[in-house]
Amino acid sequence: MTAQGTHGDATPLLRVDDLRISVPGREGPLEVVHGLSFAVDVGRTLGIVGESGSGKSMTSLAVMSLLPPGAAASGSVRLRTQEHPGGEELLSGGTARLRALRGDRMAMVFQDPLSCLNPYYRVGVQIAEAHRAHRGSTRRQARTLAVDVLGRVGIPRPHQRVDDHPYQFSGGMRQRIMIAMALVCEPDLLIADEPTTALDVTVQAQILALLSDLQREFGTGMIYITHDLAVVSQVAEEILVLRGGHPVEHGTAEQIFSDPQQDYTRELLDAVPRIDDPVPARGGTR
Amino acid sequence: MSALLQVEHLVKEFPVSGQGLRRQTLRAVDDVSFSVSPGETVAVVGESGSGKSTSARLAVRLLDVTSGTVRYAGEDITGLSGRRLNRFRGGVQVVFQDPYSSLNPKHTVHEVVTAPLRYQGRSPGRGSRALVGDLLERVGLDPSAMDRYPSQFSGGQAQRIGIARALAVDPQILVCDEAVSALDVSVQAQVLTLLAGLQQERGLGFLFIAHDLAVVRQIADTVLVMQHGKVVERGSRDQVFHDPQQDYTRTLLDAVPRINPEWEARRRAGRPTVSGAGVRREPSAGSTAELPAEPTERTSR
Repeated sequence: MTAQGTHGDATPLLRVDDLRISVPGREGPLEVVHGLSFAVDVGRTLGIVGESGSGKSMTSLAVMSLLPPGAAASGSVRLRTQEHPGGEELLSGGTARLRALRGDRMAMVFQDPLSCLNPYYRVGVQIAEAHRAHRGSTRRQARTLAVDVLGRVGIPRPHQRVDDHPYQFSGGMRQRIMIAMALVCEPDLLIADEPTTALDVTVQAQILALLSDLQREFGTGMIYITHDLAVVSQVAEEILVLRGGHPVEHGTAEQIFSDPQQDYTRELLDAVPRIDDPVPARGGTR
Repeated sequence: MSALLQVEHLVKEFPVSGQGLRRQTLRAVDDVSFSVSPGETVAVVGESGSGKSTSARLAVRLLDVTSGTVRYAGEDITGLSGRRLNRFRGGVQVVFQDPYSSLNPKHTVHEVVTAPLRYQGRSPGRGSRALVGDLLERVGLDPSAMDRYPSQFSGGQAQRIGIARALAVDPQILVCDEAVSALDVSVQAQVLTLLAGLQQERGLGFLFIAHDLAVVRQIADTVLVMQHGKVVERGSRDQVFHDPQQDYTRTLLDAVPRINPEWEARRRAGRPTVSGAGVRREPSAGSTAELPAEPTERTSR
């Protein structure tokens, strides 16, 4: 789109403008996301933070055009693609086109890997599925690729594990498999929705390191959705704080964490328990 | 001073596969001992599968031990049943992680909160509405909540209902099994403050099971670190956090995500950012200008 003025900047990978989402309510549609605008560039990470009900997950589903039935989005979600270097509109995109983009140019990692993996299929088949669908690779090519990706996300002995089923992996390993599935086509945009929330801290640290390595390698643009401010401070260069579907504050990570402008952001930051802060002595025991 | 709840050499094995002589077992809890005194908070931390929750369940007799003893107020309650077990349950109550699945959705809050009394065979009788109203107020809820159902409350409110229920029998020990893990940080802070207040007010002893070390550090007197069913380190809070003796404890502490300390210091000092003070509309190239003009006014929602 040439008409879209981006103040001289190249078109960002993803540009969201005035996104509004409504869900069916008792008295007609109920707006739950009230006009969000943001952009994500190649190799950059936007962190979207907020508490439950802030609209962060609905926002990510809307970007993927995966909103639940009945929910409707308005505004603009534009993804820069090879075919449309100026960005193509996803909200009005046809089903076939969206299917072609999802899993290929944009992919998503969810919080709970067990409910996202099919327990009946070997993980290799599930990882390669997107590649077979989008790139038409043969079964053998797909398998080779699955082994390769499994290795890259840090699964030991990938050539053996490729034939295992999801239940044979630990929670952290399953999340790696989800990431492998999302990355198999080397997408331009990755949306990670609370990808480490269900994991132990040591595993979380590994997954965060993995995501940043992969991002560096592939130049993936990422949206990282979380309620965890300490995590988002580590992964995102830019942060959008949401509350009740409204944008509260938007800035670089440094701005948000070192100089928050809004009371709500300050309250959130104050509420985070910190591992290094001085804490009052516990003298109260009898 | 003296321990109220005391567990010694707890072992719990679960059958994994096989039968008879080929039976394989998994030792989920392996020789765990600890004690909780009135007014004291003992925290058990560890990763998934470390046996921390199983240990707590053994200590409150929600699971039966394979070996070891559980003592409450000097009495061995390991093999108790019936009325005497109920009496123990009057002294030790549990708050669970997921308030929705631990509160009966078909019962009103009044029924939920008075259920432990009914199990104890203590009829709250006529005063029950006053009692429930009082308990709800104590956990920061409006007494009118008692005629509603758990699903009508937010997660934080529902967790308060769970705490009110635990307090109904006037226990001496409260076991919190990941009681604040599912809550938003602001709500989590409120519930922790509530728990600390209750402890001061009534001298409650807490057994606090959690994976979140930053939370534990705020509230614990004594910390046990578990791994693979065993206690690998124990000590006072400050010992464990400031001078951990085991590599595993250090690994756990190092893995906790932290906010850049320099940013934190600057925020606390209230100094503006180096680059463009007050300019908050240009996060990065490509995403300028289109932000709503006044996100500010919306914060008052």
